[in-house]
Amino acid sequence: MYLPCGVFNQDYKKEMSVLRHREHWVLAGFIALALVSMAIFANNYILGLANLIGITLISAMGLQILTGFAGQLSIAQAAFMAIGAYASAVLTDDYGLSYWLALPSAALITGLAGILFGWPSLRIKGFYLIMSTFAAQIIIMYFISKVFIGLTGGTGGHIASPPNFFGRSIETDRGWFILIMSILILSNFFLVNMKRTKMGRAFVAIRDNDLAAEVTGLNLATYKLAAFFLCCVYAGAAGSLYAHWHQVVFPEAFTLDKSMFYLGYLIVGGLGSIPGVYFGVILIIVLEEFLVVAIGALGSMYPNATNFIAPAQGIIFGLVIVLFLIFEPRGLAHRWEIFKTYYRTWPFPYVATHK
Amino acid sequence: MLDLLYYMISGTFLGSIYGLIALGFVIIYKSTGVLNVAQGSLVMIGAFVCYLFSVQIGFPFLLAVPLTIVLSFFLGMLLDRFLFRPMIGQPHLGVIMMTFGLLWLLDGMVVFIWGAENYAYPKVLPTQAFEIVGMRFTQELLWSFIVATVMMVILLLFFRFSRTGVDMRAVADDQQAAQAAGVRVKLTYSLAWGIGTVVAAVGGILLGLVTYVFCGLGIIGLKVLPVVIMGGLESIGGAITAGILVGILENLAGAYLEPYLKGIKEVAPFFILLIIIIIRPYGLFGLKRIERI
Repeated sequence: MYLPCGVFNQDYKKEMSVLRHREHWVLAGFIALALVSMAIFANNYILGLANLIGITLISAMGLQILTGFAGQLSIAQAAFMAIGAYASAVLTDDYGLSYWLALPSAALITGLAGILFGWPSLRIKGFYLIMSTFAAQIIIMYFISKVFIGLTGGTGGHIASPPNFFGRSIETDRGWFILIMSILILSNFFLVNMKRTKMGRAFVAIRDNDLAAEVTGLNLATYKLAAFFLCCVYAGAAGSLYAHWHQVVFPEAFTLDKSMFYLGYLIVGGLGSIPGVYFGVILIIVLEEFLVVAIGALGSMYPNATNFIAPAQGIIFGLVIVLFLIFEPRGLAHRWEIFKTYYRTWPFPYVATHK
Repeated sequence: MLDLLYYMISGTFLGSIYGLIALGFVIIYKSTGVLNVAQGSLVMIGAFVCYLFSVQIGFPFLLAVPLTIVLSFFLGMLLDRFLFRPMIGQPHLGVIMMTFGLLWLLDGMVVFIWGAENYAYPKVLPTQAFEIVGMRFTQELLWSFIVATVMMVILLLFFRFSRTGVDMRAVADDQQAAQAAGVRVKLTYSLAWGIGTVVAAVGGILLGLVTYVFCGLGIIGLKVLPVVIMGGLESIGGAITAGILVGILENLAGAYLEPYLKGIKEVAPFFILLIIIIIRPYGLFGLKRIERI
């Protein structure tokens, strides 16, 4: 870990701050400027895309806690988002709760569901755990779309009315952009700090060697369930935002494929890295959107072209995953680290050890 | 009572196909340590390649099947060489994500080429149903059962007696010791992938005969995951037994629980999976791994 010149960490406060040196402040300034100018000037298409990216980022951050930090695999992230989405839709529209209460309640309910489905992780791990989360995905979506029809509306969907902000209903993409980005910034801030607490370090210890972690006195059960809980709180919040942003929620939005995508984002971005979440999600969603636009443009020449959007997305996604695993298994975050080291050690071409 | 017997017998027939597909999965897992989530997609590819040969090109069915088998074998070898050999020594998640990527790639390609429609093989079997003690089954189901059983016996004999089969078991048991004893480990990996893919393709053709050739075969193929978890990831006998058990349980759930829970038949295997994982995490016949630091 190389710090830039002139960072001396003279007191604890300075060492522990999130924005530590000039480059951080410059980056934060640029991001703030970009967000504000987007909120003012961007058109609805860009804002819609940014909202989708924001919601996906929140959910992917949750999975980063569970898979990237704590090393527990899960392919049920979309199903957990579904729990959050339906919980907040039912709470606001059937029970008349305010959205500002329904959002945290939905996150909490999803967190509890996460503890329930994370329970098998106490006895099993690796391949067996991914199987049990796979079953969880199928079973949760089965219950939502086929069994609790009275509550969820089944395949017909459920209305999720837009929230009220001091008498103004948030319905436009611009309003949602501000809300989603604020929650995203909060989530990110929490994530950065959580990584440095005792809990965050315990997660990493469990990921690296769970037996050794247990021998050093960590209570595996507590921390594994805490990881599932946090992961699902993020998923629940993301699901709730997703539902109310669309104002209606269908089971088709939370399929097994979506769950696999979340693991794919982490692989492309880099496991265990917070910037990695951003790289992975933005790269893949922008790539998909590009594909939709490109095939849509072809659609004017070949009317059948739109039928190929879904399979083409699958092929591209599969190809991206496979190529990343072969050529850069540590994801884009690793490239980013290499670039940073290069920038900081320039003009010297080599460093003794990096990272 | 006769109903129950009927569901159990047809469940056994269907379950034998699951068992066969699970066997392909176990062969790959045992020898190479890759948990192949894309096994369902390999099943689907097999079914579609056979459809390509038998209908779209127009070869007779009995020529199309061996052609599919040969092609699948090489497909499996290629997958091993280009996708999974670079992953040796990588963490679990990377390996499993590779199979997810493969799943997306293969599924996308099948839908891209053939679209989301149902196709059927030419009628090669007699159309009239056959009877066992007054119960009627389709010919396809019976022949699938016979073919699946024959394949299983061949594979069991292969692992028991042939030199390559013994090599594979040696590699599965201890890769380094096997290498020291002169077993060509890389070749064995490739062969395991080839055989696993062939078994998947045969399973796909059988499923295509019993139902249709369509892009949902991949999802049906995914039912092997409950099967292998139930049988234990390492156990060949377990895969076969659990395949038949899951087939029977699925049929019974469809028959007796359907009035109370709509659509339970499709998800029943996953309930079984969750229950098995909770009460007996390493399957009925799997090995419990003892870990040391």
